[in-house]
Amino acid sequence: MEQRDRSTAKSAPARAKWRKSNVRPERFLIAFAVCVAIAFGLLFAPFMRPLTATFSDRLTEISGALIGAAGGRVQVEGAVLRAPSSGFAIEMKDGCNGVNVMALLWSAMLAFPASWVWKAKGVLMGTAAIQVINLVRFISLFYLGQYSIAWFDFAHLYLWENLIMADALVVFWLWVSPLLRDAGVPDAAR
Amino acid sequence: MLPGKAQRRFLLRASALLIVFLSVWYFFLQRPLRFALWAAAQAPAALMNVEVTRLPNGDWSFHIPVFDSAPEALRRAGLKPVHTLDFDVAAPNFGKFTMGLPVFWALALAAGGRGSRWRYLVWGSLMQLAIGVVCVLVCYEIYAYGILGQMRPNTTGLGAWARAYGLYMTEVVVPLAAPVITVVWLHPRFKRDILGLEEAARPAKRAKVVIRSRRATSQ
Repeated sequence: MEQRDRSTAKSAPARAKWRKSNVRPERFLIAFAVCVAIAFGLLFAPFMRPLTATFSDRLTEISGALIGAAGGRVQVEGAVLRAPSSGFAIEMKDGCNGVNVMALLWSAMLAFPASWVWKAKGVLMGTAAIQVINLVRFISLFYLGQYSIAWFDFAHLYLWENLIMADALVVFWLWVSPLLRDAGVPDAAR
Repeated sequence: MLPGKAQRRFLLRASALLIVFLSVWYFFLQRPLRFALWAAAQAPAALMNVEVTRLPNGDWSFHIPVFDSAPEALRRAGLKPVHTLDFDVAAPNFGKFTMGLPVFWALALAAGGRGSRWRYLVWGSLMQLAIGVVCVLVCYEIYAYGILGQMRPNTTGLGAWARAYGLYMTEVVVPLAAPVITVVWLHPRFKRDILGLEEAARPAKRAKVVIRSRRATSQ
């Protein structure tokens, strides 16, 4: 066991903290809950409002640019996408910009015992993965809303949010797998 | 951080199952699950002195006792103290509190695995119902204090922030996160692959021993 630890320390210095600590599920869950409470408390803080609004505006601009590049016609006004033909418009708000799922994923990564370098890598990669899918969601909702409001409501309120949560779970699973392999958990993430 | 075979397979299965289960839930199961949620909320609501009644059109009616500001301060401001608040909530608002069930089932079945699947499916389903009940009661308790806050001129910004935060957590964050946390906590695959826990080996089933008489075996 001692030899194994030394070899993993050489091959993966960024994940070195794992060797010293084990996942204690109860402790992880409590730390995760605390991180979630703080993360959403910060999201609700007045000084964060302009930041999240700017973030939503940028995502809407990117969505508009992607639709334009694919040959679609769309008008972008701040965080609003408008179809010139039908007049249908959608606005990107807090839930639609993926910050809920990002906050949950970041909290899970911060609460998990790992080195800070590995956590930072996970946060960056996880954010990118979530936002790529979030752009697909926003663009698909823009077209779905022009087709059927009932299906738009279903996809907007329930389906896409949970699909992105499943994506976040997979990102977390991928991020955790090397840590568990280094710690010698057999069959981890085969 | 490219997805491995297990993660790819899980993501594809989970996406397909989420589309199927959430569609079935949205179009067919919402009404019976809302009724189950209301029935399950009766006992904890009674403990909180809250009355939750189901109206003929499916909406819910809440009767919630509240603690108002000090009577002296209210009298000085020319206001009467409020002891209870009554309000109705439209049925579709309870959808998010029953959504955890189809999501949990989709994720748990997508994760596959062998062994006693029914046990954690039943436990997980009961947990989703319990979390839904807690979220509904806490959410509308906060909502009641929000109404009271609007009736009082001296409401602080911090109080309004705390209510908005509490409502968001109970209405959006917990219903979204609960099925995922439950499946990670209960499913053997995620217990092993995410929490690093190994299930203890079960004792081998006792073999059925057939003792035949010497006469029978000799024949």
